[in-house]
Amino acid sequence: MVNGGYMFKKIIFAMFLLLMPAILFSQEINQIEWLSQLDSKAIATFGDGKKLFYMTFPEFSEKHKASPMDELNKYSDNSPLTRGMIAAIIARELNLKGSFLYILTGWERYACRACIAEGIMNSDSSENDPISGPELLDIMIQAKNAKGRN
Amino acid sequence: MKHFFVVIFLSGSLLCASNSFAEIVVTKVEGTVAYRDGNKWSPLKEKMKLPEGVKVSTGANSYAVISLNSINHTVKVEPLTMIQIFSKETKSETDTHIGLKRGQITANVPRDEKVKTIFKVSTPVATSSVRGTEERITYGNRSGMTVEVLRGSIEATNRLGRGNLISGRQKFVQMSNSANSGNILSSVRSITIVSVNGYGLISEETATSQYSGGDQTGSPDGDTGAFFNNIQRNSTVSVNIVWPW
Repeated sequence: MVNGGYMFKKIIFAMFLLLMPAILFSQEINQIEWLSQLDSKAIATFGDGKKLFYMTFPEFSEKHKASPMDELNKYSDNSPLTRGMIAAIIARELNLKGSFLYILTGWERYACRACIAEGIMNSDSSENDPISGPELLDIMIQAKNAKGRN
Repeated sequence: MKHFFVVIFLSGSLLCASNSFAEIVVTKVEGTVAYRDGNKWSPLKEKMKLPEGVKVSTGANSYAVISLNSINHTVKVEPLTMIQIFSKETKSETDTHIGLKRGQITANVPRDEKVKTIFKVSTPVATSSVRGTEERITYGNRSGMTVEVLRGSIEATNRLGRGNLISGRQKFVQMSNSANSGNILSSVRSITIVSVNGYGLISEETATSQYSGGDQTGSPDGDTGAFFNNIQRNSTVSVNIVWPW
């Protein structure tokens, strides 16, 4: 009976080892599939913004487990994402100093100004404009570049 | 009869050589990178050979380096990028087209005098042609196409056929909603030209004072008139020009 239990554990372990690459593989492909779907979304959601932000800046994911960030819990995940919402998250975490008024107030309106000053966003729309999936991807690529520059 | 087969063989070889697809090989993969295999995405691995017209997509914090032909033209596919690759080559010519749907790539195209090189990167708004150089190209739905030359020179042309020859610290920027590309010296200009508002104030402080009535100037009796008068006055500026750059 003891040998049977030992064998059973061995079989489970072997199966785990065999399935491990398949699990990792599906996780990798899930990310690419999700990005592909996001790329065709007319309006992204706040949840999409949060997910992509944590994907792009994984170091903040750990940090926020210890001390949650207000900007990331302000809206429900299904809310349509606006430029102001994502700008507030980026400006806060990347510690952008491009707008004096943002430093003073921390408002979404001026977070957008801070992102514009860093070249992360364009200056041709307001903080209340909803953003599409491709725009969200574009903003995150520029945010990653801005973090690399600073 | 023997000569006939030799002629057939030689002409067949020549025909194949003139239209041969280049070998597209993955040289390095970091993180999550996939290629489109029929209707589904499959993970990209190092040393994998890719077919003509393959689509490659990278995840966040991931990249891939892909060799495009035998003369070592390479492309680094940066994070959150999607591209499609077409590459053909003969002994005397290489013809590479990369479609950049989104994201950023760094193309390295070493010059080889014996080989005629066509290397184009296209986005929905513009196309860049490379001749013996290294360039970084970014395309985003909102930010448009940006081409930075890391080495050598490139020619960038927008959808309307308006082109710019770019080298050094010049930058080609084509916005999605504009007929003309931006000033090629805009990046240089932004660090060399400084706006001056008088009394050492930055533009935001001037804007704030106009909005709030200038209270932050510390006028004891709340008089803001003098401050507004001073905004328009001349300022003294020291300029140091270092040439050549």
